Amino acid sequence: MERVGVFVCHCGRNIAGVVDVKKVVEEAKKHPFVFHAEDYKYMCSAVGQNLIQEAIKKYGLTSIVVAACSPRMHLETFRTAAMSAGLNPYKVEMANIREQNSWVHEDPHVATEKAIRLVWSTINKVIGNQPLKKVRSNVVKRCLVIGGGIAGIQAALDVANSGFEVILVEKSPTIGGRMAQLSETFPTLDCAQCILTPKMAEVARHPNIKIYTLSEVIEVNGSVGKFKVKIRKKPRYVDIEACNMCSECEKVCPQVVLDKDFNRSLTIRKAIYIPFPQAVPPAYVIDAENCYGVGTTRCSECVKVCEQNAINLFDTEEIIEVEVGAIIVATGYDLYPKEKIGEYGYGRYEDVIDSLQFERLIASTGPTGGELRRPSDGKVPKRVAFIQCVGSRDLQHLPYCSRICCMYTAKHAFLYKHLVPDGEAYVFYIDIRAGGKRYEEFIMRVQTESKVRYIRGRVSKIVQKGDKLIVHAVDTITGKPITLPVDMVVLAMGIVPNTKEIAEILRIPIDENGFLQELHPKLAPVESPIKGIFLAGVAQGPKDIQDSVAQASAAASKAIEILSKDYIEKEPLVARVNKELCSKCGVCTQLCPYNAVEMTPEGAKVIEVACEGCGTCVAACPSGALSLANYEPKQIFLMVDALLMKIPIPEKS
Amino acid sequence: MRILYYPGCTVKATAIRDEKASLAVLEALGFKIVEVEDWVCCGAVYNLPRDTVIQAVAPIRTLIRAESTMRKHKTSEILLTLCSMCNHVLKMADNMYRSDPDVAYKLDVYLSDEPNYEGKLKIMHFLEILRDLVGYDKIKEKVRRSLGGLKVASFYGCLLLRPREVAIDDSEDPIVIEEIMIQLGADPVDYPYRNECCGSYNVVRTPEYVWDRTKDIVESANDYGAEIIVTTCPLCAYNLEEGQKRRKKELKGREIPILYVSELVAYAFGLDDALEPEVKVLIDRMVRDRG
Amino acid sequence: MAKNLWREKGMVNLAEKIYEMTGENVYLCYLCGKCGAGCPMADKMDYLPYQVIHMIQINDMESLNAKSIWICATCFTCSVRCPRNLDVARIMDGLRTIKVRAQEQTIDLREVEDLDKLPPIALVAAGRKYT
Repeated sequence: MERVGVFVCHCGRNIAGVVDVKKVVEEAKKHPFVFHAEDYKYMCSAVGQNLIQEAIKKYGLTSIVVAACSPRMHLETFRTAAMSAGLNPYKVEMANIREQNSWVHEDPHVATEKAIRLVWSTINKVIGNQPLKKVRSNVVKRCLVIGGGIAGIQAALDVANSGFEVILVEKSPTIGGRMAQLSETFPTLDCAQCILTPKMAEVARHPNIKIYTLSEVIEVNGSVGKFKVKIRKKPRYVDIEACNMCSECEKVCPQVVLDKDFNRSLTIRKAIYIPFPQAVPPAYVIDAENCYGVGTTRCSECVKVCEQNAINLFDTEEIIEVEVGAIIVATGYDLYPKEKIGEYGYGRYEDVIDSLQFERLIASTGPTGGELRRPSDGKVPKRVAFIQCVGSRDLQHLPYCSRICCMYTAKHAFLYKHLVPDGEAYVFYIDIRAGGKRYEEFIMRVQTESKVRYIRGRVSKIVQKGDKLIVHAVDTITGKPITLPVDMVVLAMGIVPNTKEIAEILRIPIDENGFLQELHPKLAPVESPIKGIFLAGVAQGPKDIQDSVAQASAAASKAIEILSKDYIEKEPLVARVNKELCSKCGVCTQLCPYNAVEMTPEGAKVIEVACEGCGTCVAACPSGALSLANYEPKQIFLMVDALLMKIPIPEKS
Repeated sequence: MRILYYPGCTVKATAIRDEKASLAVLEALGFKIVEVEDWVCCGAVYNLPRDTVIQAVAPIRTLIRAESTMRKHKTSEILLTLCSMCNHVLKMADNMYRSDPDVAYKLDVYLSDEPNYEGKLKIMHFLEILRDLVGYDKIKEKVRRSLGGLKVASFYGCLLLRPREVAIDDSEDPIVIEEIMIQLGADPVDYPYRNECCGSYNVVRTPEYVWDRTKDIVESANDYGAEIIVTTCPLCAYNLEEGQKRRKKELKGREIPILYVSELVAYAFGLDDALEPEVKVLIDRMVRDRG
Repeated sequence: MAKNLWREKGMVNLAEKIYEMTGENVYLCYLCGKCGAGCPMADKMDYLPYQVIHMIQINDMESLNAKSIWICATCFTCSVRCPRNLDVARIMDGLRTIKVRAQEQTIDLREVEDLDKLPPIALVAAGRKYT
């Protein structure tokens, strides 16, 4: 037998200024299940809460309705108050007579009448509520980090240092990502590898981190606290423990290949190679597509010279299955291909290179040993044009701004002038975006110290004439077209994310540009809409290294929030299945945005810990087998009746 | 295959060579050419402001007359154009008619003295027909005399390649003329001006501007080793030829003969009757001189 | 003395007029200059295409007096390369049409030299654009 308590708040004059609160109390008392009703000026205050607690104990109330502001404001407040008086928190409901009533109506008669209906409606709901318990689920204390670039490395270290196991999955043969390809980083001009490799080494020797390179995540099931992950580990053909990097194998390998990945096609390597000397794990790898010895006995030159017997040409792929409690996605980026830009040659001019290629050319561990030589003939370019915004801010290619190009182009021009002091550098820009700490000062330094010429105007066309490239641009400030013959052109290509496959596997959304969608752009930038999956780095949006690192630590802290608990609890307002009505049609499993419904031989099963209570499956179920806890159809109909003032008297049960 | 043919004013006047050669080539490739009856001027340029409907009357009238001919002579729906400007205008007007019902209605009212426009035509430029209906292989088969590695620079001009909705090839890197030249045994020359504008109708009001422009174009072609420049637009052909003459003193390098694509194709196919005698002699000499 | 651009009452809003006529929104232009950089007639123009568009954006009637709109050859190189997908050639044609409708013809076809040699399409095109 329900004994409902109704508490009507004045909220100062917010409610009482329009609504006749005394009348609302009076009318509430007329409801057959209401045992007690009162009003007070500020229900959410300590005094107000006390009134509620006293009433619960004194009158043995079984449910309460607080008619006040929006539940988003104070539902938790009143639930907690009720709980400490011994009442189940899910027997507490709020009737919003402020935002939905007194704040939007001026006529007191209308507002009071509506308040009465709202209160009756809420009473009709709360009497049907069941006293629920929060849902609990165990947490596996292990974190999966997808992507071994600087963001993935930072996240892995943060989680591992907090005492939890980390599995770091990287698809290339080494961790390090894009940062390992850079020569120096802005604005400090630190040598990129010098600041990166210590972190890479830390990851390598950390007892809590297990690195899987040449690996990709191929399947993920389950939900927060317990994700079931399948990883495909491609064969390296070299034993990581045994290899001592003596490089004898490389010397005898007969197969020469273009180094498309690390050195962006600027140089060649062998089929057995290391991407760069400080690679982690420190071992050689065989490029199976280009080696004609793997899996056969056609060639085994490398095996013959390996003193450590580290090479196994019959190595195979492995599928690794593991359970984790949280996942961090940090899959990084690639450059928009210059082959798509027709007016700059569709990628056919050898001396028109992209920014990462330029980094490789000036890096001391690069293909030219840090001497800037142009790809076509190896000459030192005496005049270089740097073009910003290639592919970015362009409705025909990428509509967004890639954020890092203004800064790195300034860095490139500056470094160029240091390497070739008698050379000329021209930067063609539309704007200069230098929003980070000390970034504007860096731009000023570049512009004043290094005599780099900044010209505001986009380049319309580049043509090859003999051994020179002619740049057709315009100086929008003077209004004059410019035709500039240069030796080399560096295109600041836009950045694009690598998220298509992983987003599908994790079933997390990506936005219209392919970047991973965050839960809220301002207030939840590292969480995906799926609980337990977090985002870090450029995969979520274009950003520089310092923001990637910051975001990685943020994602790590969110992961630690989950991993540090033995169990996680969540709201029990979840979907439920009436197995007798379920026809196993499967519509619910396809529609659920949170992957919280699975089909079993006995019918649909809701994974309560993943369910967010959105109601999509409930609405779609053709058999009516699904319902939402405490939002049963019976309750809703009674609520509607009260709102329409049909007010039938619910049966006294 | 029976196709409709819309000549346009200039092809019958200063560019008659183009018509002779093109029609001969197409007939050799098995097409039966049916000239549109009672054709009128197409308008040459497409009116860009969307409220200037009156300027679309001419191209739509042309298309209506073409449709009438199609019905009367039972030809296919393909409408051949030789001139880049006609091609451009007819396609743009056709698109506009199909996409904007308000404009279509207005045009129907203006043109109420003609039968209704049914929008059944497929407008194809000479180069499109060679590429899409004939195919490069078939062109190669028909070659009787190779051009012997003649260095040919193509000049597309602007209206064949832009705007994108009516372009016959990629605006930054078109290859259709180059591909045809390769089948004929010539050696295409890549130079930066091949997809750029010659100056167009500025030649009427401020011819000096055009001569400056075409001088640059010819010089560039020279720099990259071209011996001949081919084009399909009669206005480009005129501008390029006259420009060289008017700026003879300032021109660096030789003067380059300007020919129509169809003339080289006709020569390679051995269709000597379709060529002007001096053109045939010129090409003969150039091929021979290459050895 | 700086120009007071909005001093005249009842002055027509050029950007709106252009939008009505051409469907192009000049405010999309962020003045990157790519149109001017690729324009074949750029070195003959007094104002480059993006400068003309900027003048429309700030409602400067000087844009209608620019020589550029008559020198434009409508080759569409600008339109095809614009990163904001503006049809620049159409906007230039819009300004031209405003002038022509105000009966400001810029050529007298009788006084054209080489009338006998010019290809007819040049005359037709010039007639449609300039008169």
